Amino acid sequence: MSESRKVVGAVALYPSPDALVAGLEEARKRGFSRLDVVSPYPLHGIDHLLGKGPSKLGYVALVAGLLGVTLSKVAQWWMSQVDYPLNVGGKPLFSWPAFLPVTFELMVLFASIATVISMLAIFNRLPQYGSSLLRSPLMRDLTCDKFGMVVDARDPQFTSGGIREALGGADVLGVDLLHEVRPSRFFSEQIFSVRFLLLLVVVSFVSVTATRLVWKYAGSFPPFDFMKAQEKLNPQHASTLFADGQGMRPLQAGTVARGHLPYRFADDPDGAGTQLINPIPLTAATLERGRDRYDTNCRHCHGIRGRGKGSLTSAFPKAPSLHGKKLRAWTDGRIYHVLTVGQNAMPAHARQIGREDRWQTIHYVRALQRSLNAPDADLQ
Amino acid sequence: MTTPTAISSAPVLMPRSLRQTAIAILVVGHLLVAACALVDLDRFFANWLVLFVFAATAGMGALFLVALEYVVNARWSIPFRRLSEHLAGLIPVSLLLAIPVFLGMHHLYEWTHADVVAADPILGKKAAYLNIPFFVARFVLYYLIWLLFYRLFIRLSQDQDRTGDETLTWRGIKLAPPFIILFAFTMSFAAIDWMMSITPHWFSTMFGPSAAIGGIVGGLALLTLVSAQLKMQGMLPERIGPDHFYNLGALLFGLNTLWTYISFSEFMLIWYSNLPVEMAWFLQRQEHGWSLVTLLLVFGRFIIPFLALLSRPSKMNLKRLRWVSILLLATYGLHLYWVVLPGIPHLHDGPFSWMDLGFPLAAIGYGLFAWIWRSSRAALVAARDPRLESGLSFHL
Repeated sequence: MSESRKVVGAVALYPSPDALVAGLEEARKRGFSRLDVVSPYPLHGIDHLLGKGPSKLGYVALVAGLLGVTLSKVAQWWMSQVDYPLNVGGKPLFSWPAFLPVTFELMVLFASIATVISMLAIFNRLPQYGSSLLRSPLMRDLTCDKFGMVVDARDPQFTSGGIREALGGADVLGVDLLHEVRPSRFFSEQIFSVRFLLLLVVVSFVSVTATRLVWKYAGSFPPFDFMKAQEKLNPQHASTLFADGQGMRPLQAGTVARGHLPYRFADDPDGAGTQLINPIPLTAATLERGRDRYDTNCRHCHGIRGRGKGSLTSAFPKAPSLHGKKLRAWTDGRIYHVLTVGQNAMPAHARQIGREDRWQTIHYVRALQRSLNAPDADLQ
Repeated sequence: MTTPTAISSAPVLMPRSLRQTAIAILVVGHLLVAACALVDLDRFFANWLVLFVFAATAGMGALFLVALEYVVNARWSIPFRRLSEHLAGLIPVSLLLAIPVFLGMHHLYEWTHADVVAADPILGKKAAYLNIPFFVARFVLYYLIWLLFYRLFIRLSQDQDRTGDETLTWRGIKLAPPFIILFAFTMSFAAIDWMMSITPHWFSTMFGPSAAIGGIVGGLALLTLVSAQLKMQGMLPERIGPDHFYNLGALLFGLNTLWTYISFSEFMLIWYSNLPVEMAWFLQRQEHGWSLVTLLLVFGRFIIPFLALLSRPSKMNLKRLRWVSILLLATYGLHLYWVVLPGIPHLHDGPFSWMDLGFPLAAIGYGLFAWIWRSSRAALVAARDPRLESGLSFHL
């Protein structure tokens, strides 16, 4: 430590908080005003002796806590009332008591995080890459079991020559001058050095490999599998319960799943045309549903107006217009047959569009046809 | 550092005026109580049960604070311990207060009527627990345990005043853990017996913890009130300073928040599941004007004390500590009133009547009586406790 650098302050070392307090009172009596205290643990009430008012940190905690309460309540209101309304036991959608514990926890979380961050960033002015105090040989004791008083060199009473005298006393273990620290070259010399960058590469390689191995070998052992491994019959799994060793039971002859009535006219388009009648009444709601299904399943080939100008026409065989004479003459049942089993390049749509949806789509197709070929009666 | 002044281990006699006030309050209170008993016997017994539970649980709360200090080896509370011990004198006083509760069992507890139990299959199944002999036996057991530990704790502390024997402190440290375990069980069961069984179909597993912690808050509020008042009158040692009161205020703040947390959890779980058998108890307290009492409790027992004690300086402010602890004691009484009265059929019709006025007065009177009685027996500070010096020199 060269003595040529500028002196920025001095630190005096005390063996106990009581000695520190006595030294502090003595220094203030001598007229020192720019004082600070370094201690291994918080000394409550010391700010009063330093001539500082109560800390403002409490207000940060208060504001952040209230912010946490407000944000959590707004979030809960928006989630349960606006974004995803869910009826829980007939309660109002936004029932404030339900998430009060969450609100409380968020209040605590916001307040504590804001307190720590503002303490470090605002009140302690961190990050600092160096401090003259850290270069002092007394710092070792200050982080262990001794207490220090720091005098700033900008104090009017401060003189480099006389400060050792001024701070010395019966209880003082030592006084040290603090010298200015050169600006840090932490980034230029350490962060961007080849060694450190190489280390980063090695660390990332090792951690990626380790993660991969852990996922591959340890990831397949779930810590709790009692929800998954239950004593029950699972589809597609063996079972010892039945004689044939299968968990699934064969269906009784003639069983039909709900909503899956077999189609009787698979090879009989004319039969479908004459015998099937659209069972869905024509209402605004069914028409709207039909339009939705049409836009989802038909529009990309047949076009938005059904004129065969869909967005896929260059990639797929051209789909015919729905406004031809033949199509307009077809009954609903005949169109239903095409939707159900397909025709030429058009595949069957029975799996994509449900039975009732097919009939509603046909309502919409009829509306499209009428829009381009309206009878005179419509125009009057 | 100031040199410690010698603290006397002689009892400090309370001023005559305090004794006269106590007698006056007791007389006026009992006249009003007697008037209530003449007009409405049900109301008298219900209110008396509130008075009895208040005294018993607050006294037990004070004794719990004594045990807590031994168990965690707290320094800051040593100068206050004798005050807690004095306040625990409410336990023997509450034994006298229990007599009317036994006389009024048929007015208070539905399950004491054989015809009601015979007609009600649920009560029939609970009869193995809810019957008068077993109720009395449990009561005797609680009081045997409570008075035993009360006697042990008080005696070792007062023996130490005479002898200064350090091993007595160790005896306290050994006594405290079994006491705290028994405290948890006896307070829970006592709350179930005395208050929850008024509505015998209803049950809540949170009721016991809520009552036990409510009792601790009551005892702590009494301690805070008494110590702040004595400090303001200069009857406590000089060296009991803001740092000691800060800890007292912080403990009060924390425990009251804990009580609120538990009570709210009880409410929220029941409200959320919305089962008729559980919800009925809270519905009883939301109709016929009882929702007003509920709101008073929300503000008086939590929001106002919480805000009043939130900041650091406010926990050192004696005047604020005093009014917050008075508010907490009043709302603790109001809470017990809110627990007991709506469960009794015709008292359910509405809160507050002139007939209730005598009971808070009687409670104050009995509290003063217990205080004057106990403080005439021993000093206000455990002067010869070997840890007193470290307690007095406590700083945050």
